[in-house]
Amino acid sequence: MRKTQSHNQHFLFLKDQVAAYQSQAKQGFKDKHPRATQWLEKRQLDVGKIRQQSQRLLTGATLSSLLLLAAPQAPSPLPQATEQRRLARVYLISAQDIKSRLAEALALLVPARVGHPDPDNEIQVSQVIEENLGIKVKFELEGQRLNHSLGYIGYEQHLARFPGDSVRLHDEWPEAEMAGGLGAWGYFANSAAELTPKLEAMEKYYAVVQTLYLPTWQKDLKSLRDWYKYRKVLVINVQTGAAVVAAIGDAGPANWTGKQFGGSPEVMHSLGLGSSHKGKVLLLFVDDPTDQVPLGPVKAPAQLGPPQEV
Amino acid sequence: MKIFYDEIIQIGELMTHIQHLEIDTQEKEELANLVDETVHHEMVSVILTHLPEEYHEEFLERFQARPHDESLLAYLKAKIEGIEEKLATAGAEIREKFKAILQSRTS
Repeated sequence: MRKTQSHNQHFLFLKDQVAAYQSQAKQGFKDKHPRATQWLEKRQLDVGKIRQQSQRLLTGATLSSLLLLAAPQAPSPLPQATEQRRLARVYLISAQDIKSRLAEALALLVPARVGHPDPDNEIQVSQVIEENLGIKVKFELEGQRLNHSLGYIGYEQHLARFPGDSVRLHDEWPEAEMAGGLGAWGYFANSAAELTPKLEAMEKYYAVVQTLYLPTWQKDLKSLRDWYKYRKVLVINVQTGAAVVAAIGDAGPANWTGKQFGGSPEVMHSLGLGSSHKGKVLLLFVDDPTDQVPLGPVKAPAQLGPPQEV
Repeated sequence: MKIFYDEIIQIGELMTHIQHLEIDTQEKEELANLVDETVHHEMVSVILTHLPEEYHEEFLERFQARPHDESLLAYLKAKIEGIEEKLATAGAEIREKFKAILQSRTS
């Protein structure tokens, strides 16, 4: 017991020392490179997390693989074979391979009908997604479950982010035009000046889900509204495996439309549904309590691009 | 995920030091994480310090998209004279700092 405590104290001491150096390095970076810092912040990128972000997005590999960089003679308590296989995948599997493999795996697990996969397959579906995209997803999160996880998504219009917003001020897809009303949560910001990059990304990559048909929506309106507001979801085109992380930004579509979800123009184009305006998708909650998963298209090694505006 | 400058700065040596510490595996991983994050801040800072500002965005865009891509080094070599030596020198300094920290003990 004494030995354990002593080890723990040693670890805490080292951690403090390293953390102090880290903090100094971060501040030094900010002071020396304010423009680069601003560029990174606008995209919610952290230079320090470059290895983690890429790794997590691509393979779901954990940081334990970092220790594999140690010299070969070092004794490793890690399951090296597994980790090395994971690392190998980072280099050997292309973006298209990952998409195709995800689509193939999902085809075996998700039914043609609208609704949910068989309960026995839900865990497997989540595992397949985490394995391929490195994103932890849940059919039910914190007791919340949508009426559908599988359904048709339709092309939505841009939402007004602040009073006076117009389609000219949106980066892409002006032909989508502006929605007539506000999103379910109102404006994203009170003014253009208050629109942070994070809020901008929430509108850019917003999803529409049928909260209005949830069985307890009316009864628990206040708490459910707070829970669903900008809740992160992963949307996957089940035909192609293309995936995008979106924030719930509006309620709908109405049942009579035959669609169960909606996506912003950017979401739909990321899914490869920009022309068809409709497609079959799987939509699941992203289990991301520390807000690490960026909004935007999930890209794979060969094409990993900037997670725009997040 | 390998980073293009891993070998120049010999990150493996630092990870070996962490591997040899008498602490739990989870704690080693936590330290490795902190060390890694610090290294990236320091190394990218060195790169940006020497790279003309007009190329900063382009480099950051390429780097965050394909941090493993060895063509990044060729890109930097074309724009900064002696960048490899500069990175190696910075890497050695960072390694020494970390080694001193990792070898230190509470009094």
